[in-house]
Amino acid sequence: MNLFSLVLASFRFRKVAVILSVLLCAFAVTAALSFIQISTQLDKRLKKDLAGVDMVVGAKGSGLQLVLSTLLQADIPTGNMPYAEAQKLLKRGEIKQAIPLALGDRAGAYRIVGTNPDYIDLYKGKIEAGAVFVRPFEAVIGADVERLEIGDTFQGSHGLGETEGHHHHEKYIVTGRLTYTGTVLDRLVLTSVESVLEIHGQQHHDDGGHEEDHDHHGPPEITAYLVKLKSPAMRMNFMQYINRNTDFQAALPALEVLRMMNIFGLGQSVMLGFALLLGALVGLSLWAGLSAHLQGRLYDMALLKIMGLPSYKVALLPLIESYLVGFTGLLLGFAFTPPLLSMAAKQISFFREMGLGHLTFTFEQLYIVALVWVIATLAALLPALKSHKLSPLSGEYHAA
Amino acid sequence: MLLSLRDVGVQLGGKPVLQAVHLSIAEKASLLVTGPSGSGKTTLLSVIAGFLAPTRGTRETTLTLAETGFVFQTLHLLPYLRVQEQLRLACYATQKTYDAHWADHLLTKLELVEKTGAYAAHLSTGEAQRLAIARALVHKPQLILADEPTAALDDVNCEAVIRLLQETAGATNAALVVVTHDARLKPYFSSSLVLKEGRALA
Repeated sequence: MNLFSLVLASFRFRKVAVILSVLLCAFAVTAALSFIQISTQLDKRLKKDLAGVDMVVGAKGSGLQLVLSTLLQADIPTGNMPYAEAQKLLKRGEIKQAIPLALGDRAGAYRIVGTNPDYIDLYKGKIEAGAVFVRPFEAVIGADVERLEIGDTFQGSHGLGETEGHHHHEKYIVTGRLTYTGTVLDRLVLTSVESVLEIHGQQHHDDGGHEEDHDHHGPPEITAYLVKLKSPAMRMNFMQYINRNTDFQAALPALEVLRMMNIFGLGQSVMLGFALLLGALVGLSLWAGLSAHLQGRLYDMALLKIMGLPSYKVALLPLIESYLVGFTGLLLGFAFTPPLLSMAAKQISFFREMGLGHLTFTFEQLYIVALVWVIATLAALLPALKSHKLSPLSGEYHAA
Repeated sequence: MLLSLRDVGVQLGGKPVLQAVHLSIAEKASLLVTGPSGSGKTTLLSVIAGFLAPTRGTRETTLTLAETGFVFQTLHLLPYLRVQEQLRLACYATQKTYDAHWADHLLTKLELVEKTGAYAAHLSTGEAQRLAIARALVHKPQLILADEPTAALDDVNCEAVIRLLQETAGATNAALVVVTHDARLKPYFSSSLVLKEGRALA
């Protein structure tokens, strides 16, 4: 018999109460972890996905929609723009680099993006196996793309929404797989712009700007360009120039995302306030569960003290109980969070597109561990101190 | 001398509960403390045990709590521990090695052998009383203090319990102090102290 086995014996006898305390703690931890995971991952992901792009140029419409659909692959594009006209615009001196994006099709749950290898470089992607696309209908898959391997062929289906559109006849072949980047790249199927144009009957020839209609659906169109300027200082002026003088739209990712955060009340101060509120709720529920649990043990502690158990060991008893309940709840919270996030990602496309469906280690999670530790200690402290003043003689608690 | 009280008085809530009590407990002593309800018996036991500091007089002893065994009036068994675990806990609390043979002997004497795996919460009142006694004796204390140990027992069990307390005290050279208003116990003790309104009569 020792303090640990004594605590376990008491748990065994009060299974339901203990399980409820542990679950309360686990749910509180799950809520806090999910919030931290979503907010930090979203922040990290936005920073990564937006890095290196000064401006997005696409069809007229909502700037936010343009940014979300092209940079984060999380919305429907605003439309397409004539490929030839767009190329003319992008020959302007302000532009250092322009990466084309041709969207519109999916391979199962994954978007097919017609682009060039610069898009892979933008997110520091590397070929893990195989080779990058060179010929039409060759494709490279991101690290998180499942059910496709190098050498597999697949057909794209039209549309980017939740419901699948008609299947194209042309077959792509997977020629390479990318390393994990933690960016939008991981969930994409990349191919050449020409592949996407050809599949939509908009075959484009770069030989001298000659365009030839091969009984297809019209002149070639492109969804957007991710633009890097020679100097970031040119952003505002160049954006205004495009928006006022062309049929295209230019949007600044940083500005649009900030606007989105404000619309949804996801500004930093709001996030911090919400985190603090959640922390307080976690703390209170933990405190309530543990305190109620430990108040019932005062009598046992007083008895053990009178039986001769040294005071420091008596004081350890509520601490062991509190830590066992708190840290079991903490572990369960860590165990519950990944399936919860995964479930959320299955149900909510935004979660899926933003790669929020899994739990990754973040420094902020240590705050939860620290919070559980502090609360478990505080909850145990009061009964431990009270036990010093109690005696079970004659069935009454007397001041000793 | 294990313990001595000199001119001990205790006031609780401003009222004198114990007054001018002189008492010496030698090794192997056997003492019965009797008196009506409210006469100060449990308070005296609290002072002897060291749970309660006298407001007047002195208490001198060489004993520690771990060298004392208690049988509480309201038993104070931990409901979530099995019979044998209660005994192991007493040894753990007093930092004494658990002597399985001695524990078996006590359980046999107290007719609890067949209940070793039962939770305290599932014992009858009589069984719980006997278990409380076994727990007080299992670590072979030098002083056994019992507060109404036979209150819930019939005549047969009353005699068995008091005999066991005396035998155990004798076998381990321990002193025994029993506080009770149970008149059935008087014949078993040669030395007794009667309390009335907090004062020792004899």
